[in-house]
Amino acid sequence: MSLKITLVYVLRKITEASLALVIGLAASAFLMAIYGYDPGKALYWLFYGGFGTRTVFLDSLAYATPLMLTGAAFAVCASAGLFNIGTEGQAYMGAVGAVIFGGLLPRLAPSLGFASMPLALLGSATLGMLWALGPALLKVLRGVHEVISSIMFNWIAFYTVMYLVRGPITNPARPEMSLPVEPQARFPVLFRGSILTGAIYVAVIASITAYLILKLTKFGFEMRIAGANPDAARYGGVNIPRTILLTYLLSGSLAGLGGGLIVTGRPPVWSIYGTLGNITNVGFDGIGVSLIAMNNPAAVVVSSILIGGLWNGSRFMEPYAGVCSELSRAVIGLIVIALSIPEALRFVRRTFKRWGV
Amino acid sequence: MRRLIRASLTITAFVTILLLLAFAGLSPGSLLEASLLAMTPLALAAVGESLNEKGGVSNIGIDGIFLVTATVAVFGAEEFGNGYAGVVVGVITGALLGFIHGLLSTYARANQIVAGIGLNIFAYGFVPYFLMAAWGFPGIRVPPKEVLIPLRIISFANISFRVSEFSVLAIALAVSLHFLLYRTPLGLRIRACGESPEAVDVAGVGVYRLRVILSTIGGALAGLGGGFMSLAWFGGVVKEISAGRGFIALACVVASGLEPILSLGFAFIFGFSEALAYAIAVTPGIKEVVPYHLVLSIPYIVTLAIVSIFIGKRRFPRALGQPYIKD
Repeated sequence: MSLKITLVYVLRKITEASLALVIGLAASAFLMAIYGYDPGKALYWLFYGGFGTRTVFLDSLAYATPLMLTGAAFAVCASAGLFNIGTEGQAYMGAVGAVIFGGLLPRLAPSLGFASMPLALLGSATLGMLWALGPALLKVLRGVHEVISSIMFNWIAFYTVMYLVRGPITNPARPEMSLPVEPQARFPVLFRGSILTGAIYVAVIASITAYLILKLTKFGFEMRIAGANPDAARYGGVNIPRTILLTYLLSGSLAGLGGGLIVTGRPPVWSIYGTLGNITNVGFDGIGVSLIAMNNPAAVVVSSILIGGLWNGSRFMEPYAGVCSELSRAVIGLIVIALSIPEALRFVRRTFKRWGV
Repeated sequence: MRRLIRASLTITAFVTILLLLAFAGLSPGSLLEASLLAMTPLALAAVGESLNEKGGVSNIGIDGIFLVTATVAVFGAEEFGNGYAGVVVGVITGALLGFIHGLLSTYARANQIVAGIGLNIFAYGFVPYFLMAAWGFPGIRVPPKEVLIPLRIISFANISFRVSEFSVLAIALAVSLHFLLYRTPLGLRIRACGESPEAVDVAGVGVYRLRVILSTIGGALAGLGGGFMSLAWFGGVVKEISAGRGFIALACVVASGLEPILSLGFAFIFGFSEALAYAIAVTPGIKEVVPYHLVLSIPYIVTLAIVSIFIGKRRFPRALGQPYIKD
């Protein structure tokens, strides 16, 4: 592709994503107006709180870090035509992996303390991968649709993690949360006064690596062709079950890493709350991140900052405009719905043509 | 004949399980009561979903519809001062959401799975927002007792049994929709709409219109389930009220191969597993042995097991989930 074509292509994708964003925000403004809130004020605080100052922007980047990975996880599966709704549960298991390998293990074997950061990263990716193995095997062996099985795995993960956090890996000093990870496993804060840590480097590197695997390797090519045209892929000698399995494992390890980075990369908790309050929704919102990025793991780096900003900004919307912070999730849902309609984008393009633009 | 034998074998096995549980200290009567209640929302949504999937529209946003309708049903019940009016509000809202999903999946040619995911995420955010906007209290609303729908008490001999009229309605709907699908010309059209929409189109039936109607009905039935959940079953609403039940209803649909009566059976099995999990979680003597949170994951494990056992034998409509594009 020549540079000009690439640029036009990127510009078109950005326009499409912004259109969906505008639809989502407009619909949510409508929802706020119905219930007597001031949508202008709420949206102002949503964006000012997410991107308005240097400090809040750095915090938004911190919130974007795990979303980048769950987004890349969904994007990897989507490129192969699979829907990994299980990123939520895989992220829970990843967080548990970080606590077990970065907190419990170094505590039991202090000589391993120096390696607790790589152990936590590896542990979270492995546990996320193992949790993705379930839906992948059910899909390959029994033909169970991954949307149904992975939601079941999410709920099983939810209750399992709740059991673990309140039982075997609880913090004896503070029973409302799990054991914290060891200080050596914690990523250093990059800028004083913000909660942004070096974890974001891991997230960016992992997302870019996922993109490179997808675009440059034989495995990535097989994934994409299996997603675009399974019949052609089979005819061309692609082992589809094996591709599905490997795609799911790659996706699960990314999502698990995302869950782990919440524990090792976001001050001041460094552990999992007994309510799971700090790790929930990271998978579901990662779906929005991926869809806004048109399921491209490299573009996910940018779109996750947008959703991370919405998360961060919604904390300001509640006290200053009185609007419940969870409305930001409704905005993400509306954006996803808008993105499901290729026809809306085509309609806009046709309208533009009719006007002669 | 073989069907009869199979059905009687299933029932015998079920009664044996109940007797075994009775020995373990769980009352079979209250278990059955709880299973019927837990079955009802699953069955209502599953029957509706099997109808619209037969017509070619799959809606994985049922979980979101459950959440939204359970919440607005409580709002409606308090506004009108009547539980049934609240359920009607739930049904109308569900129908509206189903209608929108229908429009998206036909005229707008949306990716139905992505649209469904969007609907779910929207609901996870909208419900806490609505709870806060309507009542100013985060996460939960318990309406006054007068607007709830009480369970009916049936008693014969000295046994009394509590049952909801909605459970009866769910069973009746499953049976009548089975006849609609397999014994009427309209049913033939619906099934053809999912198998080969081109043929239906050529025969002069509007594929889009039929699919939108079916999706609306499916949404309305899920809304009925949502209203039942908050007003007749739990007696209130929390922001996680559906707890993945929409996806369990989808599991009923795929495990039954889109057969309304069979999906009712699966809904009962899942309802039973849920009732059993809660019974285990509260029965003295058992609850001390098994960790509470692990017990709560039983329904989801049962769902996975059952779907993976039964799905292999099923065949789905050829055009399911595909947008129909007229040439």
